[in-house]
Amino acid sequence: MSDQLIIAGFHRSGTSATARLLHRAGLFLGYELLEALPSNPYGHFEDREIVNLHTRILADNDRTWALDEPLLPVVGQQRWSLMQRIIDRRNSEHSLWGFKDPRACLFMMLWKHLLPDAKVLIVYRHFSNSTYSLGQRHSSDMFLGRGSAHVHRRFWEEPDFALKMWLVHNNALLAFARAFPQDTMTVSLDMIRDGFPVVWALNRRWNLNLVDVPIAEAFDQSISVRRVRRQPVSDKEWGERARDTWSRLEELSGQTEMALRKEVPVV
Amino acid sequence: MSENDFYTPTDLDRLRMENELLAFEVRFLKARSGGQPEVAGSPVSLSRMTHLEEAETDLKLLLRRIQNSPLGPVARTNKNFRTLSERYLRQPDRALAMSPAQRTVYLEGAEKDLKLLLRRLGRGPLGVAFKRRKSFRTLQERYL
Repeated sequence: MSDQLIIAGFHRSGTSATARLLHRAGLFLGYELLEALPSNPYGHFEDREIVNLHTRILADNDRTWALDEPLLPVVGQQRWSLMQRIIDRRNSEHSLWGFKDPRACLFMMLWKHLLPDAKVLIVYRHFSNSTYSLGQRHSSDMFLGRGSAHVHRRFWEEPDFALKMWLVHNNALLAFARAFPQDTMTVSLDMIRDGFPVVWALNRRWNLNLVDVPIAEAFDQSISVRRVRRQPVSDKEWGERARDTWSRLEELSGQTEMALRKEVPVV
Repeated sequence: MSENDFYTPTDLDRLRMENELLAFEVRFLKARSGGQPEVAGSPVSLSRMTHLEEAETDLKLLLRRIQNSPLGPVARTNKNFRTLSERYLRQPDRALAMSPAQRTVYLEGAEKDLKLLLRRLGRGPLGVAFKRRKSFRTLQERYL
């Protein structure tokens, strides 16, 4: 029997750093991890096979990773079979495995259908900082001529585009957490940075037998950027929605902290 | 506005987004003018500049918080505190008029001042009270 732990969170929310930490702690994250880029100098910790699968499902639904509206994906038999193959191989070779891909936020229900016992670590970050970081990444890529100029330009042609993306992904995670509270743990990037013992908490809750790794070893405090000024928004309604989603995420992470407060070791 | 309605960006939206992109471009070019700073680890690399700007913002926030707290009147009797307030709170647009090199020096100064302030606040009987605050511990972890 294998245990599975999926790390889910929006782009630029600290999921790579969290995955790096869990990878060091012994979580198998894939056979072929994507290479590092300047925007993610320590690597993405994303398995190519999983990323390709998610990208294909998005393409089947005429969508890309830059999704700014809710998606109810239609999944063909071929994709289901591929998911099952991915699961079977890992289950047969690893007692504990998982994956990390921001696109996974959109497909959590699919994975849960095939992996009913899978546990999910939700990592989130304030919309202001996530969207700023996303803007920085895509502006740099655009100026360097890297990747699709059309995709990069959307961030400065469609008002509140990154904010809408943040909402779609995090609302999907909230829906999942509501449906499967027993299999979900929610933490914010700030919590991890402030020393929340995430590995210890995961072990405590789900007996995953991960090796406790000091957070400072895997978390480079200097690499993540933050917005210096307030988040501009074109349509106030999106701002309100983002605030609402943020409050609900904070509520969930508050529950994570509350549940472990009495037991958390001094770090 | 319903999600299904058409939405045409206003001129103000366009201007805002263009400004945002220009700000990123300025940062990008500044970083590049240092000669592949991300790779060479130049002191003015993009990530370093971001870190320094964050230090300046955190310093201003900390100074404002102290000023507006019950400790404010006591703090204002301290010459060092008055100097910092004068330097970072009373001249908010000062940094905008600086050349890139001057701005880097100014921001590095802000980072040093923030570290000094955090060290001083963390000492003595008041330090115990400060360290109870999560925001203070976060700043200490980030800069010390």
